[in-house]
Amino acid sequence: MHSDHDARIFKVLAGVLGKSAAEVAQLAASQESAGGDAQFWDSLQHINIILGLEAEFRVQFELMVAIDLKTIPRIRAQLASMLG
Amino acid sequence: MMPDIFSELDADGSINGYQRAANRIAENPAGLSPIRLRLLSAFVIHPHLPTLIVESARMGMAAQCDVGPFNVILQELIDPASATVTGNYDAVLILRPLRDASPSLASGFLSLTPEAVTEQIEAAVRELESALRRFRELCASVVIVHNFSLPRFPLLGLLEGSAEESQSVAIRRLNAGLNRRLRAIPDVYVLDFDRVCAQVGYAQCQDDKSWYMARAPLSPLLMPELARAQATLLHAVRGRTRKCLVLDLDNTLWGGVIGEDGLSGIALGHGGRGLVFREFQEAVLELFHRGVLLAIASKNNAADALAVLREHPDMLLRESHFAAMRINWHPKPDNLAELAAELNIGLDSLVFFDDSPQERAQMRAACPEVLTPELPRDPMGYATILRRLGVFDKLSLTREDRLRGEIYQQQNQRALLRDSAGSLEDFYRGLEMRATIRPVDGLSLPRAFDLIHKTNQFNLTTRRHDEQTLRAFLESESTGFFVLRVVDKFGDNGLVGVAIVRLHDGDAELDSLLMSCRVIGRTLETAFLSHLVSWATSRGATRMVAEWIPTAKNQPVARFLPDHGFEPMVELPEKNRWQLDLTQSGISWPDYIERG
Repeated sequence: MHSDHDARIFKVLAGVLGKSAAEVAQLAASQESAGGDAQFWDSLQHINIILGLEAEFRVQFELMVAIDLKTIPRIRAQLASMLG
Repeated sequence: MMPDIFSELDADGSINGYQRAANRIAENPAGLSPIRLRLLSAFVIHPHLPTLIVESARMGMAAQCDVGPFNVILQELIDPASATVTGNYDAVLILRPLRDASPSLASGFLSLTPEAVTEQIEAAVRELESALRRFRELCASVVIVHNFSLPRFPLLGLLEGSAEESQSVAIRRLNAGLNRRLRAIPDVYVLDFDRVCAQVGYAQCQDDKSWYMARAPLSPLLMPELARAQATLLHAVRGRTRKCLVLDLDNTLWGGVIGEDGLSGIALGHGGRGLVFREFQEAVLELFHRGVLLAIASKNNAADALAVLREHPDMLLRESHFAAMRINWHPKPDNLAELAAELNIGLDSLVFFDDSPQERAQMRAACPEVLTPELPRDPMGYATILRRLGVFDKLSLTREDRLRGEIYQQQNQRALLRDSAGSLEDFYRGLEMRATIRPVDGLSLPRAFDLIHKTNQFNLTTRRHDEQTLRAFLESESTGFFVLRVVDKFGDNGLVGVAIVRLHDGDAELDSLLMSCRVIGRTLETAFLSHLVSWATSRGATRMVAEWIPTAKNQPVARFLPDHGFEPMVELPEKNRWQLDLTQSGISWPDYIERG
């Protein structure tokens, strides 16, 4: 797991969700321990998160992948698999 | 604060960048005028709101956006209890894709006969038209209807451009129908959404991912461009249109410094760098022909600068295009204040265009009311910035607008005559004025509306009646609604005055009396009032009642009523209610003004 990726992911989420990076990090930790796929944000925030991540990491998610990126653990895993 | 937000954003430009900028604007909307918007759309529009907030702020407005319930546009318009009707919004924006307004034109087009196409177009126009007419009866909010964009993928492929009947042809007819039929409804405006899409590129207007994930089709490329068009229209609807462009000369109208490079050394012409400045002048000239006043504020020796205006073969702008000039070494904020005073307009009507970052910074600090756009270092971008500024855009273009530049030139000659004339009465007589006063009709209504909404100084009551009210005055037997046209030896000043008199119980109430500042100080107001008094008397009125409602700008009419023999109606002078007994006194028409 790249901590450099984490910082950039948290920055994008913080911007969209209107939270601090520390709050997003907490959210990430609680989602890691809880597991599951409960989505924390609404569908519009989801779109903005996807667009933000695509711009930040210069990647394109396929539609089905994008729909599935509902939690921070999944975002981490997906970016790790795309970027190494 | 605002310019920082915009320059950061312009460097970033991402949708999330817009969100951050919109948050900062919402936190501190100081200096912006609030405007409440209701968006009705047949798709998810929320991602667009940050761009709309940002582009509105760029034009001086703090947009508060509410989104109506998804996909019930017509119901929201015609239901007297809907939040759209009862919400008292400044403007309602309607965005309907074709598949919502006319499913058969959108997806069943190729199976329609030509007759059926015509029927479908008529049905789509009529449906919206009748909903909007109903809405107009219910509520006064301005409505902005977005027209339909041409298809991203032409149904006939190669043939789409040449076939006599095609979906593209049908959409153009539909848009023309909307234009024609909706224009007739007061305070309803059509935004050319198709033009915005063409500007961005039809292929780039929809974001597939956001459409499939959230039913939000507008692409990140389209949203800022659309928001800019919407903000420009809202700016014009609110009557914030700026009136005068003040230009620097060196490195703005031409390349180089005339005082150093000389007439043959400056860059201006048909080649290379000179073409950049020539085409910038073309953009300026376009504004001149749309009725925008031009002025100069330049630090130069006047003789050097005037030589370019008079003698340089490649200048498109000549001395005669400028309504006023300040070519001297004084601070530019002082010069702009003087220009505004000379042209009888406020600083908030000026736009200042100067290549020097120092001059721009000084102007923003000293005169925040003046709009001072940020310019790129490369003058190649000047014409584009000027053409995209939007703050000169108006909702209609009248004959007076097209001729305004000329009218101000004649004005300069009139001022010369005043300097040489003897007595004031000789001066008036020498002007050979002819005043024509007529009831307002359909043709003169747009100009009357224009005057009612922009005249600040010679305006007794500054009542900004909306178009609907004015149309009611036209119909009313008991209301006199007049326009004044003035012609003099220098030319036709056009329609320059409006008056509204309402009769009730033997009284004639002077609801409104206003005149363009171009014709103030020539006793035309006395002639106008004389006409109103005769009209009221002929309709049986025995008393004229009037009031002066003071504003920040209408001091020029403070003494108008007592100077014409009106008596205070109550002892308290601050009430400003005045009366003229029509059985005892009239107002005589000045004999040096010919009746037209």
